[in-house]
Amino acid sequence: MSTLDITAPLLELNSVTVAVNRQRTTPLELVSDVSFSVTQGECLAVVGESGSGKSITAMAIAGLLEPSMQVTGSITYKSQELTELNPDQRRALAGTEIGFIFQDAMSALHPLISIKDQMIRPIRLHQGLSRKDAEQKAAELLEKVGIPPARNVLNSYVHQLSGGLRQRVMIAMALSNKPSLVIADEPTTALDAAVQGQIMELLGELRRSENLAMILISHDISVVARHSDTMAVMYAGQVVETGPTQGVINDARHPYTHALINASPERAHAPRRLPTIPGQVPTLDQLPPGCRFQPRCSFAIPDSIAPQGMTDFGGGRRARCCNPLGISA
Amino acid sequence: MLLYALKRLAALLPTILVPMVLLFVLIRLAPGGPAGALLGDEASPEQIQALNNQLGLNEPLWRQFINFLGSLVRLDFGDSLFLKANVTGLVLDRLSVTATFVILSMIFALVLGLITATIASRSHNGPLDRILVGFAVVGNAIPSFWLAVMLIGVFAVQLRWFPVAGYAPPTDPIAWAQHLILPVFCLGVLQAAELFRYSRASMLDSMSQPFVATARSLGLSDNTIQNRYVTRMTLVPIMTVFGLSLGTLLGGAVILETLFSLPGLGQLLLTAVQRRDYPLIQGCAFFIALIMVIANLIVDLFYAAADPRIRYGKAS
Repeated sequence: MSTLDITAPLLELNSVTVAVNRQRTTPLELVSDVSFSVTQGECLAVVGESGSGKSITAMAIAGLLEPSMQVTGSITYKSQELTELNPDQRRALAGTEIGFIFQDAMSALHPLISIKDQMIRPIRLHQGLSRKDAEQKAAELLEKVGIPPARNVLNSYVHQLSGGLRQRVMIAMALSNKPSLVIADEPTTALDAAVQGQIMELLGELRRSENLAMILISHDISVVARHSDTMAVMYAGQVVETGPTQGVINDARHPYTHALINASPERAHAPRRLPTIPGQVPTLDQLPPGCRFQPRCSFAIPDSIAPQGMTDFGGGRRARCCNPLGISA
Repeated sequence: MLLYALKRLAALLPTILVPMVLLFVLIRLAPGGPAGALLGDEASPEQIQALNNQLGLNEPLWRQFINFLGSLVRLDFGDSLFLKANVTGLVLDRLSVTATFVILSMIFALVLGLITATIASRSHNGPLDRILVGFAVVGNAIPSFWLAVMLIGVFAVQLRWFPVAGYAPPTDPIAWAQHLILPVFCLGVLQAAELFRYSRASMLDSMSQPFVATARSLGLSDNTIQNRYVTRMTLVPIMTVFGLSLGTLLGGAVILETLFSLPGLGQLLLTAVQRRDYPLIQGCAFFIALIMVIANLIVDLFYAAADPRIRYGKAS
């Protein structure tokens, strides 16, 4: 965990807001004021509940949002402002600079096209290889993600593969044009526990051997603790806490982070029932004023009603809280 | 797969036999008979009786039925009562016209239906989409004979671009095309309206599938995704529509062949029914039934080729 080098970040998000236009009313903000950065070779974990805006943020970085969604703020990648690029320029980066690993490989791969044909099309598009060379390349990629040629996966269709094989194929495809940044959107959620571990190991190995930066989206705190360098916790469309993973997990500043970590089975200290967070995540069109967690927060103070900005606690630690934990007043 | 095809072929026999038996009974239940039609209104009962004896129609029904089954097995339905020629020969002769007509219409429908569905789904809920959907609703609602009469009225009678009716053999390609354009357009455009609805729905569904996001994350262009990934998904629904509408196509062909005076199977069948030409009716119906079941079998076998998740014969 000694990644304190002051290199320029590979990817930097600054006050990124994603809004979807609605008829007759103001646009609805799905993601508000998100800022974080990733350096080469680093793994940033983005954690949060379903609907907290993790995937929308990831899609915004990869340029995969629907045209009806508007991105404001700044996303810089290799000092290029992504929000200003036209669709063709964005497309040129897709797969070659930013790879995307989807959650459910079963539906993320085309059901009627063989794995080989799905793999070689982007390889040929970006690398201009002949069909034969691209097939060779696809076979090498599959070996790299731990699929021996004897499995004959190239000539298979997605429904013929096991969950683990599918996800390995998905990873091989995402890496096929040598991106520097890989976004893995819950890469192991659709898998059983044993396979989950293998896939995370594989991603870790690939990250080290290719010096990849990775954004790992997850709601599994134990996976995040084991595999990421830094983490960002999202709640109701906002980042509520960022910092080095070990620091955040062992000593959370934001009450939501604290509650989330306590609710994870591995972290709970042998109680019979897991602690839960009272109440429900507010819907995005009915957000409370000020701190979005305040109605559910057991540490709320009168100041929580006011809008909250990120407070810097030093050591890369930031949290969106006016009554942070672990700080003696 | 091969085993499956053979099994299906064996199952075709009863599928064809049932309509043939029904037909045998039904044409004999219908009032009037070939003798009355042959001899005209002036014929005396004795003359009719004599002709019926000659045609074998006074034999007991079970013997007629056995003769009929024999003709089915030998694929020889005897001679037409009016045309004085072998039924099988007559049918096969006319079949080429009908086949050309129907196949050209299907190709036209496929091209038109797929192109319009692609345009509509890519501008989903836009003005172009709405206009095309409107056309499809109209196309699904209007009957083929009405459209045929309108087309003849406008393009043949008023504008004189095409002949009003009739047919020219393909040895004269220009005349052949001129005679076929209106009927093919008429049958094809209505079929395209049906295909459009299914393909558009299927394309819209595919466009929101995660594999489209995967393809986009790999930098594939919108055109590649549409043509290679989204359209690929419409293959199965398109074949379903074709399989289901084969009957409509052949039925429509019967009506349109009569309206456009195309010397096809439909026209032959219609005149045979009017004249109570029993052997010819049975022959026509047999070949139409045969085409239907074989076409449906081909559709079923193509399913497996279009969708690797469908594999016949391995189940159970």
